[in-house]
Amino acid sequence: MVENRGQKYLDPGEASRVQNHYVCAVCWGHLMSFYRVEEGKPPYVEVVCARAVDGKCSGTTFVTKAYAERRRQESQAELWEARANLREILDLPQSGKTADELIDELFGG
Amino acid sequence: MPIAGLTDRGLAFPQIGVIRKGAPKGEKSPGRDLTYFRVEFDASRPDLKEKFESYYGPQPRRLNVVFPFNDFDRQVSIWYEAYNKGRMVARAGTVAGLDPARNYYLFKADPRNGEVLAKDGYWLSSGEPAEYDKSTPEYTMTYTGKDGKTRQLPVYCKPITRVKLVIRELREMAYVLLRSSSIYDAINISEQLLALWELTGHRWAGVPLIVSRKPVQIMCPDENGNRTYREKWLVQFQADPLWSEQKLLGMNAEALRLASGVVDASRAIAALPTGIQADEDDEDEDYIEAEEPDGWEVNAPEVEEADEVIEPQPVVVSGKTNGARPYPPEQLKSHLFEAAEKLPEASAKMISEVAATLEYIYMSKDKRQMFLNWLCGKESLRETDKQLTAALHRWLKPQYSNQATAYIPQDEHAAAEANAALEQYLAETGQEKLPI
Ligand SMILES: [Zn+2]
Repeated sequence: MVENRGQKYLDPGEASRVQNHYVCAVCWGHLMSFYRVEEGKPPYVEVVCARAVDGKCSGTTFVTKAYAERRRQESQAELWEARANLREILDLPQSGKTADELIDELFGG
Repeated sequence: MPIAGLTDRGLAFPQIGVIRKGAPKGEKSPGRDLTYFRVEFDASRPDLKEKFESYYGPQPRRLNVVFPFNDFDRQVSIWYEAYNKGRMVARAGTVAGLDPARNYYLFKADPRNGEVLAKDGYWLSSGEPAEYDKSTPEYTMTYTGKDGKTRQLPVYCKPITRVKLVIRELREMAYVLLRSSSIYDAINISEQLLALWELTGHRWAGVPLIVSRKPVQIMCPDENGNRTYREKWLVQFQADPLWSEQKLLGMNAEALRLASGVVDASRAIAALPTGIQADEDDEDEDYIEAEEPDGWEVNAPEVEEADEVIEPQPVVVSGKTNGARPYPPEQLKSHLFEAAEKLPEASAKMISEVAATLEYIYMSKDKRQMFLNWLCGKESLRETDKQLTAALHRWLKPQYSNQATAYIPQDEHAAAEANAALEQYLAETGQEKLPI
């Protein structure tokens, strides 16, 4: 019985490269490998999102670790820009933070 | 179905959902194209879905949105991409410093082992520009059909458009990602957004926008050069009419012009992406080009996804359509004349409503005249038979929209049919095609 939905690799080396260099495309969390043997089929390795194993993520595809890391770094500046651009139209409350606090937030304190 | 895990990425400005154009994929088949947006939110936020549906219902065709960023590239991306076993193996587009009329690989990996072959427009091995040729497959997948025979299927890049949108009614500092793999959307969206980009003086963040699904007749010449059409529900962006009356006139006319015309497939296939800078091998969602390990038995995959038409299978216009809407031009004409015989003459109010609605559809007096010329050889509604005008009224079902401050056709196919008719008139009279 195969429950997890990830990607299947006949070459264990390729599976291990994927596990080492990629993260889940949905949650950007780390990946796990499962060795599978099914009757009438060649054995294979399935690489799945670790969160997907217990149903906490629906991701089945992967992005590079480097991409996820870079996007995380960009995101704080994106929040800063989006907040400034959208406060009026979304009628959002002022953050109550001082300019210094916001700058600290932007540059990671 | 909600998406589990999307908000676990640890982003300060998170993605909370995806806007899709097609139905969910089947086990081995693509989802069919829909006429509305299918919006999925993160599973951990059931409140978002509830709030969204309280405003829009389950099948929205039109959303009130806003762009969070002024930077074009941060806001929109259109690339040619190919995937293998859940990983991107190719991404192509224009590259700064190289020929802007050509596309190059921003990223290309060996699909067998993931080895990077090209990056940022250049082959890593030789340092030469890595030009992308859309007629060359990225790789070939092997599959075994239901009949037990093994086949080779070449896999090509597909144009993927992604736009980050904030849905106004949700009032959340978070975005949803609109995604389309239709080449027609790629062209329409890039043209509409470039127009919007200019209109807003490169400061479009915070400008209220409307994104909608719109039926468009795609013209695809067949092998014999016959004009054939096929309906596609494309994505249309326009500035919210409430934004500014001054801007509205310019923008709505432009957006409508860009989005309601007939898309010429030959042009569509030739162009793309538009000069959008790319970074590296970033794929940001679960787009799958699954390859089964050799020797596995799988059902034959569909070559063509429902929402992407690289080489359209055209519908012959001159052939019978069994009365299905939208009517091809000649059928529209004969229906209008048949209806006219049975209807009383149009009132003065009806005549002006028809005029206003045609004006809304074409955004051009000339085109309205051309349409009438095509229909009955007249150039104004004053000269047009009043029973025929009554038929036009019944066809268009004009209704005044306070939001658009215009008469809008309530018939969902009327605009597409009107545009197809005008296209035919232009073709018959040897004039230029409509700009898309
Ligand atoms: Zn995951």
